[in-house]
Amino acid sequence: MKKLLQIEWIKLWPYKAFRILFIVYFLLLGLSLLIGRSLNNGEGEELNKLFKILSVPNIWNYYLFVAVLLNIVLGIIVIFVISNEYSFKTMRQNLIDGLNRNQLFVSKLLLISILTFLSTLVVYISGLIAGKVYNPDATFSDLLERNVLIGGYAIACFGTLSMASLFAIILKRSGLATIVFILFIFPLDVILNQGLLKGCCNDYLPVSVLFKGIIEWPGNMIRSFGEEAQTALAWLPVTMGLVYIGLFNFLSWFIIRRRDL
Amino acid sequence: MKLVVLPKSVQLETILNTAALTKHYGPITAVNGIDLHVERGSVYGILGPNGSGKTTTLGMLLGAIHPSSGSFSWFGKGTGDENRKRIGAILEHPIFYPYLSGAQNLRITARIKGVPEKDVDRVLQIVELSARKNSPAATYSLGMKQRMAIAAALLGDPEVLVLDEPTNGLDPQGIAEIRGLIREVAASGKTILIASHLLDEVEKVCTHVAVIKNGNLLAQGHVNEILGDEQLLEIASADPAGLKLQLEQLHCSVRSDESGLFLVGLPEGMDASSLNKKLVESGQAIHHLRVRKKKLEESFLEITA
Repeated sequence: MKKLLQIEWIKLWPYKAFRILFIVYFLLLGLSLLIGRSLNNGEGEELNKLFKILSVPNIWNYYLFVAVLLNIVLGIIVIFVISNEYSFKTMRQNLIDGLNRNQLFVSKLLLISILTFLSTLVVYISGLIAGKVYNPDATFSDLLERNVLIGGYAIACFGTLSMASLFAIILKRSGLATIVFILFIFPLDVILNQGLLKGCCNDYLPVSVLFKGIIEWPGNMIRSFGEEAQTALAWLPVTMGLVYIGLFNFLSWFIIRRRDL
Repeated sequence: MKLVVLPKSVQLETILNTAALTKHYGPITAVNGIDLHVERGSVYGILGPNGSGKTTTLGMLLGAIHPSSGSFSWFGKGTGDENRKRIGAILEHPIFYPYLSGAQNLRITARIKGVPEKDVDRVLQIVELSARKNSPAATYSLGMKQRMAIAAALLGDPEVLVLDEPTNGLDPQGIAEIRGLIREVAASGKTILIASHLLDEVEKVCTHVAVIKNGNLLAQGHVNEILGDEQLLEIASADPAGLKLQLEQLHCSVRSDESGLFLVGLPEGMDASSLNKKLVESGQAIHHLRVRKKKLEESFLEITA
């Protein structure tokens, strides 16, 4: 395990696209809080007072909603890193050099686990800091309210990255896998949901679960002037999220085991 | 060509054995029931035209391709993944993370093989790439990439090297360098498996050869036996049985006997006239004697025809 981690690290850090996308991801996260900050001034302040987006604990609903959307960027990082292994044929060379197919799978699983851990950590810490900065009166226990949602974010993140990893493993090419990943998240899921399935399975399809099921969109919160917001995780989307994590990773493992390299 | 059954004592030294190794891609049979026997210390060439199934065969032996049927065994230990840590291999062409330096790439290989990192400097010296070790692999010339790939294969001092078309695409100087390197490594007693479509390469570097075409194994054995650049004689006399006895006493190897017309290989130091003289002295009246020089290309074309 330690060996696989070291190998991933030697590969990843010098990879420019990885660093750039990672920096872009953190900038966008920060930007989402700065946009929030503009709500704290002038007219914005009035708006914020009205809708209470940046008040504690509502800030979690807003910030985690943004973070869930930004998982798409993390997903693209995962697609680039994994499809590179196919286009450079380094996955095959790693196998020839002595890794077995399970280790190839585990090293990809480690990659998405580490990204999930890092982003969850950064989102949590920056959320706490932003909460305190925007609400100097908030006590520590105020800041800890709704923290269970962070766990939901971690599941959504891990699920999204598992999906990205599966697409990269199936399609092998970064451009193609990125396009399919994004199309799947936006139009394809809607077409599948509303068109073919006539909205019957909204709660069960992966994109609905991972992007608005586990962490709900803050629309209700804003419409109700900050009064109605998600305060806890619902068991159905969380269960479905875990089911998809299992399914995506099982398929990835299966393909790596079975396919010629 | 029939396979030689090795005695037990030699079988212990068998590095690689394959049995009816086969790979189908849909209706196409890329490799068709190949049996290979590679002994320790040999430089074993897999010779065949492009598309004959060499890379697919090596891919199966290296775990990258699942065989459709048949089996293989490295070091008498089967197909286990651990075996590959004792093998240094290049499949198809040199493979690197292009954005990483040569040294970084070698460090990854070293970690995978469980080899200490200081071995990286040793192999870089062998292939004379120490000066460029910190440049990104993408900036290397093809010859440098081949040398770097051989360096990667040499990490951890493996017992076996597997090289797939190691001189492909190189200029004559590059070819000479790589062949020199292979000979040096071979001289250290390692077993080397080389796939090549170049007859001349196999003849210059290998001790043993397997010839494959369209996925079928046509012949395998010692290079001199299979591709021997030797002089053969056609001989016939009125007394075939007596002639054969006489030839055997003179240490000539009788290759074929077509109703009294013998195809004969000569022992060292003997030529057609001295053989003729000896036969006449012993009372054999030769009525047919023809020299047939077997050329390398001829042998190869003969085998692959």
